[in-house]
Amino acid sequence: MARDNESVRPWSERPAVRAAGAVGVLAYAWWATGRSPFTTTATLAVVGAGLAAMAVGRALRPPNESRPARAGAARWVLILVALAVWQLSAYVQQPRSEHPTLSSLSNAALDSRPGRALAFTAWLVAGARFARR
Amino acid sequence: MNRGITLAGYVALAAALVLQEVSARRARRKHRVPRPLTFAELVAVVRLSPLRWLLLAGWLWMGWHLFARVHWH
Repeated sequence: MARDNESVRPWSERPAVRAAGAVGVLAYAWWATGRSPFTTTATLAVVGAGLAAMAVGRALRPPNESRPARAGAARWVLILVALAVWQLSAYVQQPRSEHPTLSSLSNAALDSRPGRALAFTAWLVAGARFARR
Repeated sequence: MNRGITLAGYVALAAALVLQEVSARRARRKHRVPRPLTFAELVAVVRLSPLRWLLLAGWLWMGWHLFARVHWH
């Protein structure tokens, strides 16, 4: 019976496959976030992983998902546009210490390698989930 | 505008995002029609629209910016 369930369940949803994937992603995140910034290796490690996450996300698309109604998105759009404008107005002003951007504020959290590796993992997972059709 | 005002703006906008999510979840629980979307529903709307490629490009740029273009101390 258990064997039957295993054969029905898609391979990507098997616990062993998921656990191995999680360990692999964390190990890669640790390696990638240890590359020296502003180097070709760092760029390839990040952009390559991002493209791979998008490809995995597209392969793992959920079946029969209905499209939610667009009505009700207006307030989200308004707040997100306000955030973008606020961030942009900080970005064009100097000095950065007086006009922090979201990325300058995130530097403190990303300063430690474990924090960076976890954030990198979260970034990959978010991208893979968003890339699903 | 100084640091305090800039940070206060970010905090206010973050609070607005949280309030919007709380309000959308409450409206869904009470089956209100029409109701605002939750964040997950908003993501689903965008994910299934042509905007997805623009946002995926922005997501890729953000990762490159945060993880490959910052000097760690």
